[in-house]
Order: sequence, then structure tokens, then C-alpha cells
Amino acid sequence: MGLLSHVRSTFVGKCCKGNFGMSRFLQSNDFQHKLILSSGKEYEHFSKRSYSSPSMTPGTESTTAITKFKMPNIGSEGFAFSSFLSTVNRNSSMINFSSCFKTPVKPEQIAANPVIRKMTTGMEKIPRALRWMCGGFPAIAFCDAPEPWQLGFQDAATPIMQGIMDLHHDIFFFLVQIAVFVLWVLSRALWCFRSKISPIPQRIVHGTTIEILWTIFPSIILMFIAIPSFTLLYSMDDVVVDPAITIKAIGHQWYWSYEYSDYNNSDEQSLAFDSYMVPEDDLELGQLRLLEVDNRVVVPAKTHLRVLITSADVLHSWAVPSLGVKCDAVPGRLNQISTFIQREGVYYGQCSEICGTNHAFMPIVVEAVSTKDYGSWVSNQIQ
Amino acid sequence: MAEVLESSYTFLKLWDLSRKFRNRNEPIELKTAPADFRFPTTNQTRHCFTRYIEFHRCLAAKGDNSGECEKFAKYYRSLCPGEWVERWNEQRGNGTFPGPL
Repeated sequence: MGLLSHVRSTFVGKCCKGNFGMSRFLQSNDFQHKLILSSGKEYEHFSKRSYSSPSMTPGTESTTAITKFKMPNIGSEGFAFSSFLSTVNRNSSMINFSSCFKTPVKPEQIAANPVIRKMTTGMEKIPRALRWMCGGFPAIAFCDAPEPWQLGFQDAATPIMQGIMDLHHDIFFFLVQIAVFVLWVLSRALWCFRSKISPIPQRIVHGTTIEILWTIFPSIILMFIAIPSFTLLYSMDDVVVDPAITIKAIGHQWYWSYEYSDYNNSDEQSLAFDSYMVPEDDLELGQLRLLEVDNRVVVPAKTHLRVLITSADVLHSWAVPSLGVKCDAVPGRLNQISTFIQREGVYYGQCSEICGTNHAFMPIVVEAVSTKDYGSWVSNQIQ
Repeated sequence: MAEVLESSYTFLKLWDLSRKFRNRNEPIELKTAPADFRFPTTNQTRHCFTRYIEFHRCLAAKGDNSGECEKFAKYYRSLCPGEWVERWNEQRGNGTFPGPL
């Protein structure tokens, strides 16, 4: 399947399932056209992260290729590898078809296209071992931002989100079974008692046994659903260990501002910033429309975090699907959520409480980095 | 003599610079206000307010220079939004602070 979708996306150039990850990068339909026209200059956009990103900016060509893998939104759920392949295909900057992938693509087919040949030969500069690593490892690319036509969840980055997804899937299993059973009963009733077969309608209006059964059974089912559901609900409130970092997210009309006050020595805020959406006209290639902000919330991964959410004006809601977080921001009240991000990445969210005209234009971007990078980011910001 | 002085001055300057540089690269301490059993719920408004009051009560009891109250200051700074603290400081100045200080 992976191979198929790969080939399909290679030749048809259409956004099929395996290509979802990439389709998010497309600012316009002529993206590929632009990409081919530009002789390598445009690639830098892919590796460029947001303005306040603590990670290193790509210097050499090889680091450019590496940072591409660090970008979190490359893949799509379930088709991580195939989408990765098609991403690589689209980028074409690090690909050497014959050596990297065992695909049904014949070398001469590629050689026939001078543009691609130019690109691939250009990439010869990247060490072979590195190229092999890029192509050979199955890419673990997560989906931490919404996708076009997405129906399922984004990938979980916290234990809570994993719990939510598991509960959803567990309940869905029983839900489907019940739905099938009910439909079967319904259709049989409609079929077997249709007017042709039984012209004289039955006059049974009451059946004690069946009524007891269809009261007790659903109750038991509901009870079994309630147990894991409540367990999860209360586990969300639990603060298991003392947090290492407190971050304050303050909603404004219409932006979020953040305060990191653990490093303050006086009441003066030493590390506080506003986080505005990047307007559509300022987006760079590869950035997500209506989701990108100028200053991201940088947090360390694998650390217990406390996020205190409040508002300065009206109700807002701080929500990041991948983290399993949605918390109302109420003026005059501090709402606490504790979270533990399990992997580094960039997580996208949006304000989730109608808060006025620009409600749709105040996104949230959480960037989880290593503790070391977080340390250097903080010291850079404080200076 | 002047040369010696100048070179030692340069050395001191460099040493100072290197120390600053070293300090800058020191890992920051990841520490914040601990979870408080008095405030186990999602609503942490009172947690912040209480820590603010505790700090000022501590100052009143132990004096400004005791150094024992610093931890409460750290706690309330971690928990309270800057805007709230500013407002409360103003209110304390005006004598209109609503809490028991």
C-alpha cells in the first residue's frame, strides 16, 4: 500500500492518501511548479522554523536535509512512511532513487527529466551515508496539526491524549457492534412484518421480559463505559508530581500572551511575550495558514509542566489537540492544567471559545524541545 | 609598570568576560511553585492569591531582609499573572488591598 501510494503520488502528482502530509505544505496549487523552477533556493524555506525557534538554523546543505526531518508535520497517521516518501519526492532535494529506495521507478525514467536530473545530481554533494540514512530509515513523522478533510485524531503527544484516543477507540468498538445489532433487529422487523406477509397487524403492545432486558442491558453497557471514562476524567485533574515549569497563557482579543515567571527576581516580568498569528501574506513556504504564530510557546519535552490559563478580557479557550488540552480562559480566574509532553515537536492549536471577530485568528503553537535547548532559549530570552 | 598594569587589567577584563560567558551557559534551574494540597482543583486562583498574601505576611513578620520570604515571592511570581501582581501592589500602596495582610 505504501509503495502503491508512493508511486501514485509520484506519477499522478495528485494528493492521494499517502500524500496528505505534503499537501499541508502547499500554499498554492502551483507549488510543485515553483519548486522545480527555483534552483534550490526555495528549499531553505522547508527547514526554516519560526522566528523564535531555539533550534539551530541550517547552515550547510546536509543540515538542511536533516532539519527537514525534524519538522514535525511531515507525515500522516498510518501512512507515515509512504507520505514521507512522497514528501521526499516532492522535495526531490535529497533523493537518489536508485540507491535510497527500492521502488518500481526506473532510473532512466528519471534521467529523462532534465529538471529532476539537475536536482538529483545537485544532491550528490550530500554524503552518501547521510542520504542513505534519510531514505532508509522509516520516518517517524507525526501529525500534530490538522489536515484537510481529517476525520480522526491528531497524533498523541501526551499520556492524556493517548488515553482519550484509546477510550474513544474502545467505545467505538462496542458502538459499532450495538449499531449493527440494532440495525439488524430493525431491518428484520421491517422485513418480516411487512404488509404482504402479515396483513393483519399484531396487537402486542407490552412484553415485560423484553422491556426488562432492554433496560438492564444498556444500563450495564453504560456502566462499563462509565468506568474507564471517569478514570480518565479524574486522571486529567490529578497533579501527580510537582511540576518543573509554570507557564501562564493569557488570552487577549485577539492573541495569546505568555509569561514564564519562574526566572523572575522581581515583580518585573523578565520573560513574557505576545504570540500573534502570522498573516496569510507573510507566510513562508511550508508554514500553515491560520495556524502559525510569530512567537511560539517553547517548552521542554519529557518534563512535567503546569499551564495556568486565564484571560484579560473575554472568555477564550486554550486548546492543543495533540496534547489533549482544552481549557477555558476565564478573566479573573486561573485554570490549571498539568501536562507531560512525551516527544519533541511542534503542536498546533486554536482558540476554542468564540471570543469575538478575530476568534479564528489567534492560534496556539507549542514547541517542545529538549531540556538543554529550552535552557538556552530561556537564557537568550532573558538577556 | 604601566604595561604590567595594563596587561593585568586586560586579564581581569577577560576573566570577568569569561565568567559572564560561563554563567550565561549555565543550565537554568527548572523549579517552580510546587503543587499545594490546599488547592487540588483546576481553579488555582486562590493558590496565587494565598501565596501573595503569605509573602507579604512573612515580610511583615520577619522583616524585609530576613531572606526567608523569598520562596513565597518565587511562588506567587510563578503563579500569578503579572497584571494581577501589579494591580495588587498598587492597591497595597493605596491601602485598598482586599486581602488580610
